[in-house]
Amino acid sequence: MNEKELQKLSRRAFLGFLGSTGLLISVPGQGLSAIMNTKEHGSSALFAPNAWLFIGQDDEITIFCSQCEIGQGVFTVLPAIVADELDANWQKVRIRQAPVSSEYKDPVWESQVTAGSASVHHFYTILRWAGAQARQMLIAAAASTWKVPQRECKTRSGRVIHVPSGRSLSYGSLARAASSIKPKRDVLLKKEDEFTLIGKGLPRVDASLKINGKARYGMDVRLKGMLYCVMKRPPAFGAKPEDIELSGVASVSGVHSIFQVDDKVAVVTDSPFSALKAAERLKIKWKGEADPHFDDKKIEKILRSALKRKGKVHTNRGDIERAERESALIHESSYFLPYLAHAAMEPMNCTAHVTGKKCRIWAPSQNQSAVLETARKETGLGPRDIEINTTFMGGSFGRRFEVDFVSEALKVAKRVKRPVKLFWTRGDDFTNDFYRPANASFIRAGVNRYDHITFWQHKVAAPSVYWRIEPSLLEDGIDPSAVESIHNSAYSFPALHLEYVWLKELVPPLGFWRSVGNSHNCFTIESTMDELSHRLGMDPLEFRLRNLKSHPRAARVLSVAAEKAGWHKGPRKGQALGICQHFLVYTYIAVVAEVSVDGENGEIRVHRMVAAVDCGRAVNPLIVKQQIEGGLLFGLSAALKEQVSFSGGGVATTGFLDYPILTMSETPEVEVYVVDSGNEPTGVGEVGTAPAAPAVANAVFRATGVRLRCPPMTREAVLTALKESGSKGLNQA
Amino acid sequence: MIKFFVNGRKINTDTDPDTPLVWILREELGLTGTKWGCGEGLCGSCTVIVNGNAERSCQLALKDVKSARVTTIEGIPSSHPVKVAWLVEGVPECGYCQPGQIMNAIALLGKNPTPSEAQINYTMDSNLCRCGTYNRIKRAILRAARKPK
Repeated sequence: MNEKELQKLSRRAFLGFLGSTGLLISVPGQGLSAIMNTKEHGSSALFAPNAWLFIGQDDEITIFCSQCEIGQGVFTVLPAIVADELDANWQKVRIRQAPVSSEYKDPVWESQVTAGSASVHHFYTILRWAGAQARQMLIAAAASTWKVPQRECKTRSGRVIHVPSGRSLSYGSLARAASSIKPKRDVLLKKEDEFTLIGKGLPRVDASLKINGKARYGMDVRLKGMLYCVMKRPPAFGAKPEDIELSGVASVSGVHSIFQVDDKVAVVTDSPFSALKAAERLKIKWKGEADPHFDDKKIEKILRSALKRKGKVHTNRGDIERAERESALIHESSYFLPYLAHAAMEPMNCTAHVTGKKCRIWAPSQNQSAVLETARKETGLGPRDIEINTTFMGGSFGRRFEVDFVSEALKVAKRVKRPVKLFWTRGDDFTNDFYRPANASFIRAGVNRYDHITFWQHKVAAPSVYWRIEPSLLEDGIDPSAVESIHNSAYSFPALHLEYVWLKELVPPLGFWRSVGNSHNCFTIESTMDELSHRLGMDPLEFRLRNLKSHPRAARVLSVAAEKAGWHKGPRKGQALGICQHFLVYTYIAVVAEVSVDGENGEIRVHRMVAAVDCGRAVNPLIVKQQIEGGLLFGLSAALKEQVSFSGGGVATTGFLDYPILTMSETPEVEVYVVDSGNEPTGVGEVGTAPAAPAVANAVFRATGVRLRCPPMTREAVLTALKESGSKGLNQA
Repeated sequence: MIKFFVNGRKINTDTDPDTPLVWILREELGLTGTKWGCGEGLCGSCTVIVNGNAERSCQLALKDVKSARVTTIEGIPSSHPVKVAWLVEGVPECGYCQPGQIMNAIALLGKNPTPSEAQINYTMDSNLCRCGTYNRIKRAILRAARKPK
């Protein structure tokens, strides 16, 4: 998601990033109702100044995390921001998943959702404010107890200290007194050099739970009297059950009920094994598939012809004809990218219990507001009677933004009137994903004799992600995600013509896949930049730097990555280096990949990836590194191996055999350098994913002279390309 | 009635002997640290140790573990060098695959206390991680291998 989309998703303005040097800030509308709604901790909550924390008499501080822990580390990063401004003793802090309540909505998106690499970026100021407000009230309480001026007091590690006398009181012992202090909206934030937790790289608070098997994921929810549900799903898009043959199921014990739910058949049993077994034995005749001939060949045909079609113009800036005349070189290339799956390790699931008066949900969902909305729609109950418990999530990468599995669980729960855990098989997960769209792109670009880009013509042909998710975001038939990071690239394109062809005939359902449109556009732009530098006979790093004059932060990460990777020293023998940069979710990243290519079997070995990232202030540098590392490998997995296949009008990819992902032996060494520019903190979750593929493709080109424009860069693809070019896979470029 | 041992505890059960071990552990014994990821033996999230060997508990039926000694993630103390190494190297992101990774690593070190990087790759290659923690897993195994047991 890009900024324009974020702004449009928003119904009120972001409170604004207010700087980080001791400013007085004011945050309106932070109430207490969310705390009061969660009953478990009412008794010890003596002091609850705002929705984000409470302090008990035992000195224990509880901090709420509005965002969901999907693996990206928010349970550590966000509470540490509150705790720092509060001057809390981190060892005494407890972190709780916030309930679903308006206080916890993302201030930009006005929705309780964890997405778009936005958690730190959007919540940084609010969380600092929340901690600072509480701290100020504790100081006021202590000063009034001691009958001294507040300015004589300071705080440290969970205590207020009266400096002249050396007396001190713990936050817990001040909790009762502080709760009668009137909260102030205007509070003084710390100066950056006063931070004790921000920027320090705290270890993850969830690591121990996860290492010891104690973290509770959606799949781990266990309720008394709970039933289990697996669904039989249509094998082709648009198909519905025509005839259900139950005879095979008769021998399966523990079957509670079997019934149709929309275009699926629910199998409800008393154990997960029975559910799987019964679903397997259930024979269903389907009818009404939308297009039985929809398959990979058809997709390829549509993509190949798409670039000849006229699209809608998103941007038409500058005078292309004039720029053409000023160009010493004009280069054209086309790229084709496949459908991709999310393949999170924990299959989709949701547990629900719906009675006439109450609805309880346990969901590994990153989209709480959508879960609530779905529950209201399905049950007709009001928000007070809907309880939503967010569990840990076994990965998501955008898949758990969707709430299809929540809706299914609610429908089944309503029918069986008992708690029910609905879970998907791995096959369900692959065949019912909301995929990263396939894409065909054409770029035509010119460079003048000073090696400056003169014009950039870019046509993107792809189906629309937003058409289903939020059609109001389509402007004049242009999907904003399809063109993101082109019109706002860090490169200076004096003349830009950007066009989008909406491929409506590509029917597979689409969703947000880690880095969304950046996953296409970073590949095509950065491949083309490399092609241009090669045509110019110029160093790819130098050519990029020359065209990044208006983005010094991009130039800086590029220089750092190049230096750390030994760009100027060159690769080790038999290997080649590829470089790229990208700007997304307000963060700058540059990556150098070191690869070798086996000319005999076509295998690309990625030996090392070196990344430099500028995400402004790194609130937790350890987690920034971890996210960039994970993001790079997620992107590398797709670049080398991943593609969803279609046949007979449906999805042919049904498991990890059909959709192999990166394994340990294929994993390169990864080095991540955090370039702290001191700017406002911005996103990291999606940042590593987009640049992985172009870094590798550019390195492969330098190793072989072969340009791979259609990921995945499998052995077969490499061999075919080598054969066509006559290259033997050695350093020829 | 099938008897076997889980984390040193004797279990007697008359559940359907065809039931995969992963469901016995998770549903009957409440040991939800063992994860269900694919049910096809392809992801490794459900890896447990059976009589010293790393096994996919989704591919073993209850009848296959008659009298066997099964160890799950819950049966490994948090002070175990492998778990400590996992913590020190900051391995988990989403964490879903990690119990399986840890159990596979412990079984490996049980047979080969000082594995080479190639041996680690070979053994761990079938345990998938979608978050990309492989390098940290490898470093944790190498770290644990250096520690006296």
